[in-house]
Parts: sequence; structure tokens; C-alpha cells
Amino acid sequence: MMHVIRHECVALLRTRALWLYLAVFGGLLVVAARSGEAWRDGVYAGRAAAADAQHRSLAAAAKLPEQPWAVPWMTLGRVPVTAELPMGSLAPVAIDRVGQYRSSVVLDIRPPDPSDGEARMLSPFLLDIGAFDLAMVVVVLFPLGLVAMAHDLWVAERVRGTLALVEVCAPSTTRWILATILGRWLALVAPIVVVVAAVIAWWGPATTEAAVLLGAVAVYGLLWLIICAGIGSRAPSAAWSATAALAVWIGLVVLVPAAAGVAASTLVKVPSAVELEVELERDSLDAEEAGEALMESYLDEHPELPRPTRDEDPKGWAKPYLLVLQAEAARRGAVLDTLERRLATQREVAAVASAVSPAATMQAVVATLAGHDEERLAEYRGAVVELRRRRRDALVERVLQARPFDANDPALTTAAMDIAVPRGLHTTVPGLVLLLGQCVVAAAVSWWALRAPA
Amino acid sequence: MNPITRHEFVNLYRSRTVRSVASVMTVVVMIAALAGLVTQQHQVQERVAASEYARERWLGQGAKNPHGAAHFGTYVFAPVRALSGLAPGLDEAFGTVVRVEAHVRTPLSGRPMASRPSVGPFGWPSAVSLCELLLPLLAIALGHGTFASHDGAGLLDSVRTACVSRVRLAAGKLFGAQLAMLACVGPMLLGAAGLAVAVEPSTTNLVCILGIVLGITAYAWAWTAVSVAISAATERASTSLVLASGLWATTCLLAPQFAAAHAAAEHPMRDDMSFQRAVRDDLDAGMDGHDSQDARLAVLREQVLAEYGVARVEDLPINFDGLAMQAGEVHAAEVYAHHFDAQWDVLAAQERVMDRASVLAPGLALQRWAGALAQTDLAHHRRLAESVEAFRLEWVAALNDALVRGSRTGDWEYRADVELWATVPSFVAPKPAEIGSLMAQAGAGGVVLLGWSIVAGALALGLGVRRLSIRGGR
Repeated sequence: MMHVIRHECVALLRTRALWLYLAVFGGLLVVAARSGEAWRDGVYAGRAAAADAQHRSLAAAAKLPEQPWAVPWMTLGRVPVTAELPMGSLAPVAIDRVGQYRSSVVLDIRPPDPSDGEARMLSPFLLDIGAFDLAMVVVVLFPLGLVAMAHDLWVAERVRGTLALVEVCAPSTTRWILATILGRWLALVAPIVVVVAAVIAWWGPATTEAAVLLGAVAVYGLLWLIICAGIGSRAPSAAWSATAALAVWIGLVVLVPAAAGVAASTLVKVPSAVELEVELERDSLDAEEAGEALMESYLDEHPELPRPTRDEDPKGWAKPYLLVLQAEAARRGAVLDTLERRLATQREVAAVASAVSPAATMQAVVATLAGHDEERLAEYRGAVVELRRRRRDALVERVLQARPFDANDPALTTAAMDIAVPRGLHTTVPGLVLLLGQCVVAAAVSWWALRAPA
Repeated sequence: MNPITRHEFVNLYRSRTVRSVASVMTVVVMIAALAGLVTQQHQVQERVAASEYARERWLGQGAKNPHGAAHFGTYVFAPVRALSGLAPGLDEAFGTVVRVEAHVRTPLSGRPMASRPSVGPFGWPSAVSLCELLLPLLAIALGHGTFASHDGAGLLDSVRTACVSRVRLAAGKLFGAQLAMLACVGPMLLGAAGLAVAVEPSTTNLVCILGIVLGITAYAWAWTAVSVAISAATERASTSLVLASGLWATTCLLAPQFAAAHAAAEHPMRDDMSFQRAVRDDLDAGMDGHDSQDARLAVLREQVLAEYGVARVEDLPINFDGLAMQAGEVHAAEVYAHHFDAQWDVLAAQERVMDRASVLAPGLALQRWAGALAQTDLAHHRRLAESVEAFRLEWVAALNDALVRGSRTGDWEYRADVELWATVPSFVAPKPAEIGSLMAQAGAGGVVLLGWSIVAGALALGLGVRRLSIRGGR
């Protein structure tokens, strides 16, 4: 077996194509590494600037306002304190369209809005085309490189008729096939895994997630080699094999994920931004009445509190305003919860529909390891909504109870808080299992293709 | 028809590989076109319904102070362009709805992509984006063996010995491949164009969709010629195929991403938070109409008092608060315009970088061409955003004017009703641009597509003739 592996490696190492392949992918990975690093530095710089501005705003809000109608608690509650999505060590791996989501959201007291988590000032070109990242190299370009380098696996032997000879004469055909694929893997996949490892090490300390990512890259590369081997074993010529392998790549990397997305959005209808805005606005108007009722019942429960009237107290507007806000937030929150559930169902349908595509599976694994998967971002949005609710509750309680103003109240002044959105490695397990399953299926099909009579 | 062209065309068109690739592509693009048009029609209906609701809400708000109504606000929904179903351009990256209210200018929010699942690395599929991605592959399937496979079989020498000139032979092969490409994509493009025009028939739409079809045809011509050129420059069909695929990956997958990243790095936009901070700082430096301590408010007060010849604002026959609100609005509009214009200028600079990059990546040129003709490009979105702001200013001014003339200073109990709400202006979407100006906007993309077609055709002919010369000399 060893001599077959050695033969495959040496034969490939003698070709200029292999060195070109390694140079191209080495270069692409270096560019992706720098691109990821620049993105991470940009995010950190933005957060530092935001934290600085928050401190200044909090200091300004600590001074008692001069306007007679201004309520100090409200001024403090409106300071744009931010909640930040913690970034993991692998965050720069998948930055494709993550820019459209805010990783730092203002925790003001407004009711939840669908545009809260949406970054607005963003290059539409970058958003439309996607940022170049390590995931693009690994998930999309790497298999294309393997198709270019391994489409001729066994074609030459088949064309010359020596494949049958090897099958008959080799001590063990199974071992010969395994050794051939292993030889190609060592020459084509292993160097890429090593460079990816170097990129991750350059970004920061090694973690278990990094090891899982490297394992996933190794399996993904093996899977594409097996696909090439299966095609090559039945191809009448190298050109035919290359065409077929390219078609499979197009199908699995481009068409299946796109078709799955279209199917999911057709099967699971999610209201568009326009429909959502109309629905939320209807609820907000209803909430005004609910807010007034809320105010009445609250005052009935607390007879010791004075009834707020604007004529007697210029600050009297704050209490009914906050209760309307509470009612509005509750109604809008319910609508947005339903939306999040629909989006989650849509994502699940898309994931099921694209289960046949290793590229979609690998993309999901990489995004999960980077902490930029849709589920985590949805959890982050949920956590932001919850934190805002708590801040609103704290504010309502202080204003309604007419508590003495405290500019250092931790409930309203804790700035730049990291939201704990815990994501263990277990979230990547389904993706990894699916990837291994796809590998096994590809191996079984290729095995059949190789052994079945031509 | 040149017999070589005819032979090449028939040969290619009969090829099972070519027909399979062409059939799959036709099905995929037609599905995308149909899905795009259905979505576009749904968007038209939802936005009409939403606009009606916004109007109904505005008229039904009840009696209130006009400034209260200005805070109550209204909504503007982005209009849907007729060809956006086929060529959505940058529509996915821009918002669709904006709440219009006093004091605040906000960009449109609610990107369509936010309510859709992730669909892989190439974004939401549209007829034009799929053509951009897949047409080169069809061209490669058609052209990679034009010279290489025949040479391998020794057929080129045979034809050459039949006294066919090198130029005629090379041109015949090139035009045969081009005819086959046209035969493969022609029905698909005309079908998609017919559907789009049938949905919203108008002369502008017809001209624009024909322009888009022409652009796609030029793109297909360029890639077929490139594929034939590579075939002429390589010995084996498989080498030609791998090289052409590598070029496709470089120009269609990598170059656009590098260009977008380079554009964003070269001309960075302010992020949301720093943008809001900068706006807030500039607004704080001026008056907002609510701050009685503002020095400029005092100047305005003096001017108005002098104009009416009274000593106190309470003695004015008008409501000074309304004037102050409007002055604050004008100041805020200037601040917002300064900051938003700067952002749009950054985007325009990014677009110029993308235009330059399209020389290396013709897919970007096709996007530019189709986006401009479908009115889904940057210029269209800027025009829309600016028209929304112009409407906001006119709308707030009308409400402030009603406050000024309908009440006196300090009279916060003043109430206007539906009579006023019905007279304030409503948003009217900017009219579709004239064909001439659309062509001018699309020009950058058109020039690159034309350049690629000419250069690639010349290269294919030149390399083909050279290849035949070498074979003939042996």
C-alpha cells in the first residue's frame, strides 16, 4: 500500500500543475487571512469608538437637564448603551455577508423593531457579491481546485485498459484504490489543511474549534476526491471527466443551495419588510389604547401614586408614555417572535433541502464554528430584545415609583455589555455527521462505479 | 453560410454534452426568470396595499397638533421597477421601507435578503446573475474542443490540405461556435424577455429588456471567443477545459469579490454608530426647534418680532414655535444632506472602482449594464433616497406652516384634523428615467462588454490562424 501512496505523491509532485495549484491556494488563503484580520480589526475599532462615545453620553446624562419637562431617568435611559456579540477566535473565517447584521446593537428603550439588527451603512457591492473570506476558499474554490487536479483519476488507466489489469493483478484492489486516493489526499488536501492551520494560528491561539475546522476541511477534501474518483472511473476521456466533474461542482456548490433557498422561501412564507412594517404599525396603534388601560390599572393598584396630569406636572407625560411603550413593545415583540420562528423554520427547510450538497453542509459547519450562523445571530437578536425589555422595565419602575435619580444606576448605565450567546461545539455535530454521511455515500457510489462493469 | 461554420455549428449543436448543458441552463434560467417575475408582481401588490394603508392611517389619525402629526409620521415604500424581477441589481442590498417623521432622516430599511434563507455563496439567484455565472460554462463546453480535439484527431491537417485558407477555417470555427451559442441561449433569452414585457408592456420596458438581452448576448459572444482562443492555444481538449474553467473561476468568482473588497477598503463608509454620532454632534451644534437656549433661535426670534413690530412672541399673530420648528428642520436637513451626500459619494467612488474592475471581470460589466437598464443600480437608489428626503421636507414644512398660521405662540392645544391631513403632500415615486439617460448610466458596462467581445473575437481568430499556421508548417 505504501508504495502506491508514494507513487501517487511522487508522480503528482513531478507535475507543474501541482505546484501551481499549491501556489494559487496558498496565495488565496493568505489573502483570506488578511481580509479576515482586517475585518476583525475594523469591528474592534468600531466597538472601541462606540464605548468611548457611550462614556461621554453617560457623563452628559448624569447632569440634571434644564428643561422643565425633561425627566432625568428618561434622559439616562435613552443613552445609546450597546450590547455586543462576542467574537470567537474563528470569527474571521466566515465574514461573507455577516456585515449586514449589526454585531453591536443599541440598547435604548424603544420597542423592538425589525431593523434593529440591520446594519444600514454598508457597501451594497460588498453585500451583493459577498466579502472574500476563508470560507469562500475552502467551501467553493478548494473543490474546484480538486476537480481540476483529480478529474483524471483512473481515466488514463481506463483509456489504456490498464485499470482492469490493476484490478486483476493487484494483491488487493480495495487497498490499491484506498492507497491511490490517500496518495492524492496527501498531495492535494493535506497541504491545504496545513496552510489553513497556519492561518488560524496567525489569527490567535489554537482552540478545539480550530481542530474541528481542520478535520472538516480534511473530510471535505476527501469527499471531493472520492467524487472525482467516481466520475473518473466511468469517464471515457479526461475531457469528459473534467466536464462531468465541473457539472457536479456547479450542481452541488451553486445550484442545489440556491434551489434549496428558493424552495424554502416558497414553502415557508415569511412576511417581507413591507408587510411586517404594516403589521407592526397596526399593533402599535392598538397598543396606545392598551397602554392607557395599563396606566389606569397600574394606578388603581397603587393608590398612593399621584395621577399624572400635564397641567400640574410638566414631567407628567413620562408615565403614560412609558406604559404605552411597554404595551407597544409587548405587541411588537410578539409579532417579531413569530417572525423569528418562521425564519427558523425556513432555515430548517433550506437545510433539509440542501442536505444533498456537501458545500452547503460545509458552509453551515464553517459558519457555526465562526459563530456567524443564522441560529446564533437569531439568539443574539433575542438576547438584545430581552436586555432592552429589562432596561425598559427598570426605567418604568423608577419613573412610576418616582425614585430619586441616580446617574450611576447599574440597570441603565452598564455599557458595552457582551451578550452571552453560548455556543458549544455540540452545535456543529449535526453538520459534521452529515458531512461524514455524505462522504460515506459518495464513497459507496464511487465504489460501485469503479467495480461495476463498464 | 460558410460550410465550415455550418459544419461546426451542426457538430456542436448535436453534441450531447452541449445540449445537456444548454438544456439545464435554459431550465434554470427560465425558472429564475419566472420566480423573479412572480416575486416582482407580489412586491408591486404588497407595496400598493402598504401605501394605501399608510394613507388611510395618516388620514385616520384623528385631531391633533400638526407637530404631533409630524411625529406620528407616515411611511414611504420603495417602488418596484418592472425589470427588477430579471435584473434585481442592488435591490437586495437596499431597504424597502422608511418611516418619515419630523427632525429625523433615516435611510430605507428592510432589505429583501433579510427575510430569505441563505442560498450559498452567490446570493439570491436571478435570471441575469445566473446568466453571468453559467453562460461562460456553456461557452466553455462549446468552445474548449474547437481546435484542441480536432487537432488531436488530425482533422485540422485534413481540412487544411483541402485548400481552405487559415483565416476562413479559423473564422468558420469561431462563428460556428458563436452560432451554436446563439442557438442555445436565444430561445431562453427571448422567452425571458417576452415574459418581462408581457407583465408590464411599455416601450421603455421593451427597449430596456432588448438592451439587457443584447448585453447578455455580447457577454456570451465574449466568453465563447475566449473559450475558442484557449482551445487554439492548447494542445489537448482537457487542458483547454481546465484552463478555461480556471479563467472562469478567476473572473467570475474571485475578481468580483476582490473588486468589492478593494472598493470598500479604498473608499470606506462610516459605520452606523459613527455616522449617527457625527450627525448628532452636528445637530447639537445647531438648533433643533426644541431648545430655547439656542443662540440662533434668539436671532430668529428677534427677526420675527421686528418683522411684526411686536415686543413678545405671545403678541405675534402667528405661532412662533412653528417657525422655530421649521428653522430647526431646515438646519437638520442641511446636516443630514451633508452626511448622507458624503455616504452616497463614497458609494459612487466604490462604483467607479467596480467599473474599473469590470475590465478584468466582464460579469461586473454585465451587472452594471443590466442594473442600469432595469433601474436597480446605485444611481436609481440614490435618486429614490433623495426623493424621499425631498418629500419629507415638503411634508414637514406643510405641517409646520399649518401650525404657524393656524395657532398662536404657546397654544399647544391647537388641533388640526383630516382636512389638513388630506392637503399635505403625499409621496410620489420618481418617474422612470428616460431611455437616453438609462443608456448613459449603463454606458460603462456596455463599453466593457463591447471591448471584451471585440478583443476576445480578435484573439480567437489570431490564435486560431496561428495554430493552423503551425500545423500547416509541420
